[in-house]
Amino acid sequence: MTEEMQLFLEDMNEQLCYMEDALLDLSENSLDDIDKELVNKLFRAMHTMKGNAGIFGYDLIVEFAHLAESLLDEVRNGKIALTYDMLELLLMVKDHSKHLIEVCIHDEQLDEDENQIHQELIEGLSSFLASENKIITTLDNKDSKDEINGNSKEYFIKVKLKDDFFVSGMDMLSIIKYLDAIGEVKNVKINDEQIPDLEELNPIKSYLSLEILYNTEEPISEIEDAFEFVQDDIELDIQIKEQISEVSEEEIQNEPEKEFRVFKKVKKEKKQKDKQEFRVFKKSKKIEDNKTLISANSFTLKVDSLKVDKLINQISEMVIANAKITQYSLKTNDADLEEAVSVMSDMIEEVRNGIMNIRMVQVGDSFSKLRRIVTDSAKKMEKEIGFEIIGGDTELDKSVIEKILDPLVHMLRNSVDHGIEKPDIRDKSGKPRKGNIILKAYPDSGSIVIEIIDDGNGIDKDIIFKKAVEKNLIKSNEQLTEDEILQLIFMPGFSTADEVSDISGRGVGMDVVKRNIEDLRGSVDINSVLGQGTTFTIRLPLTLAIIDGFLVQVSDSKYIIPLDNIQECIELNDRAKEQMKSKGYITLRSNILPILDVANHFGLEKSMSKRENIVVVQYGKSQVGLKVDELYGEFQTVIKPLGELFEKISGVSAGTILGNGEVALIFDIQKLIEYKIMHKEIKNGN
Amino acid sequence: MKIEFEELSISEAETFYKVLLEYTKTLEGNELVLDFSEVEKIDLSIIQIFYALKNYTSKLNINLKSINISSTQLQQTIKIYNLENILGIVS
Repeated sequence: MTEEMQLFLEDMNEQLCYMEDALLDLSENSLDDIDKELVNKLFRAMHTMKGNAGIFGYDLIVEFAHLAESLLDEVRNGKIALTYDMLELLLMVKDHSKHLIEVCIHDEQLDEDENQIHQELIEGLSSFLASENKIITTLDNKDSKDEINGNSKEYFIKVKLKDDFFVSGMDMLSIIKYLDAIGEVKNVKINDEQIPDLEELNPIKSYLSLEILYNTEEPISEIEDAFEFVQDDIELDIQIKEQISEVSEEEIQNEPEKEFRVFKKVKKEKKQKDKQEFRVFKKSKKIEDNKTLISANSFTLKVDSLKVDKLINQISEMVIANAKITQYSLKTNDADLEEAVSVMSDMIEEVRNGIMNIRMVQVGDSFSKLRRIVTDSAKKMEKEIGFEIIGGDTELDKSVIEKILDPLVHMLRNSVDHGIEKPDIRDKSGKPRKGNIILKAYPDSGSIVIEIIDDGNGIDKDIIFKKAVEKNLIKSNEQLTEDEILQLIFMPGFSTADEVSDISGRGVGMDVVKRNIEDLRGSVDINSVLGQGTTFTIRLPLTLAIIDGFLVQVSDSKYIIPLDNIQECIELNDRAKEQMKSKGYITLRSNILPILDVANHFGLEKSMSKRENIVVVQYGKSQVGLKVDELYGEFQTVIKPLGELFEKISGVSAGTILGNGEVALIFDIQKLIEYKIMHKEIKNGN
Repeated sequence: MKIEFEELSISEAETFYKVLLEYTKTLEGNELVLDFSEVEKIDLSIIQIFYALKNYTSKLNINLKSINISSTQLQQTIKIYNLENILGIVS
């Protein structure tokens, strides 16, 4: 796929997302007082799609988008009222547009069924337009040129093709055709002055420039946009002809070059102003489109994610090599070398953080795709559900976002299917007919927390317990806490759905969801109040590649504790040592801190070290003290997956390589805390 | 000269140029006829070659003529770029 095509696809998908967002926003609110900016957003998305498709010569999309754009134009101008039926049709238009893009880029044709949908949507759009006796104009209808009214302006467009223009693979004819679709191309003149003699010609080098006389109602920025995909391969100059009063139309048509020169002289200042305005327009459009504030000097680069992955791998190896050099420098007792290595370590850390930041993207863009799933599922289940995203600007590693989307889809479908009640039932319980689902993201203790909150019926723990017994997952006389009962829904084969619905309950249960989240070194918890609702809390690591760790020693082995989980390190006094031995906890600033003896936990030999250090770690709201022998300090930790032999060890999430080539295991703080809190020793201790 | 390409774009430009150059070298008489019966479409890189060819034939007083332009797409391109004179299309 060419770079241009890649850009085209990315931009089209972006526009489709904007469209879906705007349509869902409009659908969820009253149409009595619609947000005009949303309608404008819809119009702009459709307009941009039409333009992009036109540039690539995809007439099928252009004509379809043109019709939808015409309708949206009438809506935004207040000539046709927006209705829920229209919004539903436009959602189908959006879905179909995505399909049309696929068909066009693969140079395929619509099959019979697809063509029927295509025609039905055209009829649907036309009927809305016809409702106000509007004349539907299509690009095939050449009479539409007559409709260019008094608001139109005449432009003189000069396009100088740079030497490599042809190599870019773009065809200027598509752009001219597109310009003709949004206005009228009155004349195209090819300037051949630079073409050498036939024998001297380099056929892949461009020597041409084009002069286009053009009439349109569109602003100059729209004309500039038509050339967006070739902007690096041309020099573009656009002038408004109506301001050249001294030059007659005849002269312009016959001598565009002369006109150009005259205009340049007379309207130089105006030209500068126009260009400046265009830059401002482009800038503000970009900011608005991307919902990103960028400084005047910054710009956005689209980079293949594989390149970033490669960089991360390289920096990971550099971190390991640096650890080796650091260790070597310490052995040599050479102060200059140590200083140089220290500077290099700081720089590597900065580079590492910079590269890791490249991978961080806002969760909002991915989350907004989930809105449609909630809306469609709610409609199928005949439920009224509002969907809100909070903390969309929270950043997370792109690969983590990609992997968390499937579990989120499953959990949201569950919330729609099993959580939120039907409107009549909510009515009877004194709740608003419309239920709410909130998808919330926020950073917490070096993790990202994602919550799915619904105000539905909550989970009935008695039913969960009974179902688990029926399915032989637990014994009927088993004593479980409320939290343990809720955790049963994550057991393989557990489903409380009486009937398998279209939305969820297909047998792919919450166990898969939990496993997927744990594969990301994350965790999922449930909090549910019967009659009031349920909250699923997912905790995810910020990144999967490199973390800041803290190196400790227990017995003969070294371990890494993720730095974000560490609250403090303390050395035990004799009284605390005695309390820990007898009760399994210490009193720290009037609070009880459970202590996990790491050596005991992993079955290591008791060390001879006289020092007993406690590293206080936190996960969520729980704190535990880890008893270790030695503290070595911060360590940039490249996460390496564990082999089969180690991956089942509870309390260890991954491994890393130290400077001396030794392997250190990375603690899974969540698992260690869970172990300590659930362990009978603590229960007894408390 | 019959143009044996269905689509003439930048991918074919070098090959077409070489064929054309060879042809001009062996041309006898004062007329060069381009047969477009096989050609469905052309792009600007090819149009540029035709411009160079037109300059070449004009200098040598050779009459450049194009025939069998049957493709609608090709006709549209010729119309948009005003190529009738360059290609010597006789209406």
